[in-house]
Amino acid sequence: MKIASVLFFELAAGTLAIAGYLYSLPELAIASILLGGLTALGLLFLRPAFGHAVFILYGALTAVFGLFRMPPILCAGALAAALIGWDARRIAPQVSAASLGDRRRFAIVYSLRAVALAGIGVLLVAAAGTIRISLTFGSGLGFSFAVLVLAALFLRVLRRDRNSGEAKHGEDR
Amino acid sequence: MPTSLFLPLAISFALVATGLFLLNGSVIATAVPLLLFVSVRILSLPRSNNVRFERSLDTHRVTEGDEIGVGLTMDNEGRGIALLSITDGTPAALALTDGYTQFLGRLPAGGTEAISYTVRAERGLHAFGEIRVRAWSPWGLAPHESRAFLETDVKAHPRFEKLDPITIRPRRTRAFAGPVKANRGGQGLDFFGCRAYTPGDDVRRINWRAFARLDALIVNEYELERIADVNIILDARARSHSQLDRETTFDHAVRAAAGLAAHFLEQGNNVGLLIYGDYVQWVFPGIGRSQEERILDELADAKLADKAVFEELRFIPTRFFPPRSQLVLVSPLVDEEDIEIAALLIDRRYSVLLVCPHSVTLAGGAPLTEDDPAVDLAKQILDLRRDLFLGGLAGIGASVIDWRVDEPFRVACQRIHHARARRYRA
Repeated sequence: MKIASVLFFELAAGTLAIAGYLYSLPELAIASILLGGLTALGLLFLRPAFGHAVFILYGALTAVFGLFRMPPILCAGALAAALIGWDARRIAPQVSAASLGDRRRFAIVYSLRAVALAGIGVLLVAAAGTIRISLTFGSGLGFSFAVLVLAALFLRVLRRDRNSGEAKHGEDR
Repeated sequence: MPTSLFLPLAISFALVATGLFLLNGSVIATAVPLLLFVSVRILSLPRSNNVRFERSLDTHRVTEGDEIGVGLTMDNEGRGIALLSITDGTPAALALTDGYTQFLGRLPAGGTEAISYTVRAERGLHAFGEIRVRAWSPWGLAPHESRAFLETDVKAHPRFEKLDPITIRPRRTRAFAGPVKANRGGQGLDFFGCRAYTPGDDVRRINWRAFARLDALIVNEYELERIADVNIILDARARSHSQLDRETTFDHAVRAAAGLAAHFLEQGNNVGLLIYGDYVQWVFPGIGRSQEERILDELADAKLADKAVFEELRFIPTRFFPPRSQLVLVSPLVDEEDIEIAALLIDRRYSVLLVCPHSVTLAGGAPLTEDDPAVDLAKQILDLRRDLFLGGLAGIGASVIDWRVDEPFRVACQRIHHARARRYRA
């Protein structure tokens, strides 16, 4: 999972660096490369908390790219890759006691799922430019209702996390 | 709020806020994958799993340093789980030597999986307990985390050496035949003395040379051999022991106590154990294999303690021990007060065998090196002090095993015997 994490973070850094050079922003491209290098070293040798700091840095760098009117699809793609990298680094210690083969299979399955999800997000961003929704009373009400449902689900998840209790019985042989 | 949700949510809110503030749609759009990720996390509500566990151990009682094979079987009695992580909670004192403690993969409905691994046990009572379960829904990224409790205990007894015979001479023995010289005439192997013949004496025991010389029937007497009450006192006060490289002198003391208990029990004696430190842990004297198990169980659990009540040896509850019996005190005896207490036990007519495990260490805990002359001088002073203390105790009748823990205990026991033999010869 650590390697998958580094790969995704590097993908994000690479995307931002290429975008920087393509859009004549060499300072930002160099900053991306530096961040990529720092990530590669830090993720492999430092504690998992380092991943949080790196993710925040990627968020900030992506925002700066966005401010310079970069295509949103590139920024969103890079941030999505950083998100997968961060998530993989966060999960790495949770699977560290398994065999190498199991960890490898898990990394592949988990990465594929995350990539699929991130892909949907990036596609949404790409489609955002073409979608026009007129804000009427009905659409506004629907949107508000959707937000309310999401908030309720969110609260439910939080409560469940707090009360996550014992699962199952067992017996000593 | 869990970090898995908080951080992406915080970054996406920051992006949206920045975008709104600067009226920049690109920045707002960048937050979309993060928001989608958080939404999917929230919406993919994985159900609680229905997995039954069974843990099997090769053995529940081992000797420290031995390896234990552990197997964990998991049966899925509910729906299939696309991605499952099960981690067996191995006690910290058990070092993993082979295999893996975690299962990671798919577990179909009705399916069974198993993991097996090997651990090396340190001395103590170890409890396997918690099993951590993380189950991911078929398409979600958020795991449902739960814990199953499956208590399995394993007891690691102290490792000990088989000792050569140790001679003890308690002032009082029990009524049953055994290996301890009872200081009384009767049936035995060693010559004890002569007395006048009384009707009923075995004629084979008549000393004919004495008869020729004294013109009276004299019979030879042999020294009775009986079993004895042997009570082992293990000093578990933190102040008495010093930290060595990975262990403490207490670990060595525990092994010595185990070896002595096994040795005296094997000879048929009535052996008890008192661990003095945390509280008074007392194993009532007994004989045989079951008593050895009881003593080893207690020693497996023995820990150093720093209690003000038991700071001094003077509170050893001597009423537990039969009068004039044999006491074996396993203690480094750090100061004059300890020596005084040992002398007091001898004064109370107990026969005392002192086992003094020691190792000279620096204040920081590192073992001494011979290179530094100051260190060498300090070592000599400490050795002289120890010789003075222990020599004084030997002078008033204690048997002393001065044991530097980097040598085998068996060798130290032999040394006391050799010293005795020399004393007798002299």
